[in-house]
Amino acid sequence: MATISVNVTCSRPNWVTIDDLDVPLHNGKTAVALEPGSHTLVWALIGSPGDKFEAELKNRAASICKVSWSIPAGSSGWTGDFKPFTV
Amino acid sequence: MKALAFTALALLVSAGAAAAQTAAASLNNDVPTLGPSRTATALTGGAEVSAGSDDSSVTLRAAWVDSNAPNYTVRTLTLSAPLGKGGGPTDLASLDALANSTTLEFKWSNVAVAGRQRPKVADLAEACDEARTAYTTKHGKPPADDSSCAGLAADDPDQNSKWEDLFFAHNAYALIYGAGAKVGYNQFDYNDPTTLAQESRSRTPWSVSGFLTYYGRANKVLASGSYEHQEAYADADTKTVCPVVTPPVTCVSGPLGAPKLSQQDLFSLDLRKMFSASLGAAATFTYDAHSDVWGVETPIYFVRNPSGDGLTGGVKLGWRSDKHDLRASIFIGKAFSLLNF
Repeated sequence: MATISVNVTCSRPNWVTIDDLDVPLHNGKTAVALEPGSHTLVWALIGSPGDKFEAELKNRAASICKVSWSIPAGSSGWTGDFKPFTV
Repeated sequence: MKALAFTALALLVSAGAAAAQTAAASLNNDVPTLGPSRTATALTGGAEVSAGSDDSSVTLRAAWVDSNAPNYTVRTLTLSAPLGKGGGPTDLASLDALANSTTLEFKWSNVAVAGRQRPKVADLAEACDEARTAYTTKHGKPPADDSSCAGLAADDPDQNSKWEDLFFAHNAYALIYGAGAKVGYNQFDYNDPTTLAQESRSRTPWSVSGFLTYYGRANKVLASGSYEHQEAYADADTKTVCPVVTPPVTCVSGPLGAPKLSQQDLFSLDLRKMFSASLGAAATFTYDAHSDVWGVETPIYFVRNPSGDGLTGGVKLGWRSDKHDLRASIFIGKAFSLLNF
């Protein structure tokens, strides 16, 4: 198991999961334990087009997943996205 | 004095924005993109600090979010100063007696959301591939490699509905309620009605408020009702007065007498809807039960920000029942937001 730090920045209500694991934070940092291998970061949020969601996962100091995303034009604002990463 | 206070706040906002950029850069190793509303955001130990300006004021805002799924509690502290003493031509339609004051506001909001789904990764990947294919068919070329799945889906209404159905049920909704308190500062210059000497007084207006908001996914309309009690001050009537003395006579002109206390009991209904990717609108109906005056304010957003995602400019219409004139202004820099916290 590796201890992965998760750092999320978003000004709107959002929900973050890694695989099926809820990441209990809205804004800020936390840590999750993951087995080596392939995983997926999934985020959902409510907002307006242009609202930003940012996240970074680090294994010790090494960045293993970095997201800089915003709700796209044409979205209703009830949306989300995902990004695979490897530990 | 007011100019001094405004300058101090402007410097504070400027320093806050710079500090926010620095802090964000240290977290992410890059500088966040600044939109036309000139905002900057940083995460500092669970609190988010942002500085910005729109068409009528400059603000420095700190937000704390407590997540206790499925609910969120959001607390915000906002320091705000008007850009001009008179405000915008339609700002008065909000009947907000504190619009021309430097204010500090605390707001507490609780956000409850029903209908969130937990999408399976396989379903997300399949929907993303489908959206990519639809995009390629529609445009005759594949999308850029760094295109997000949500961005590809948003290119087509049907694909977008399929995509967003993975995250939220069709009848999902958010129920938001909260309360706030605001205290302000104003400096008034006036002429003493007896001596005609110029005087200056500072006043501290304040308000308390509460609101309830419903935001449904199916109709994509946000509806919010609120009540706010305000105790504010306004200039006395402006007059030109000449003393009864032997010539030469020097007349004085300006507010004659100390500022007057005014009370408002404001009941508001706020409606917001995003009609398309390039058109959003809001309408706020406000009734002051104290003075029996109505006001309607309708900003219509159709100017996109440089990244093309959000709407940050348009035309604002305002009307109030005691003035009986419709006023319009152009605004730029204030982002359209469906959530009111």
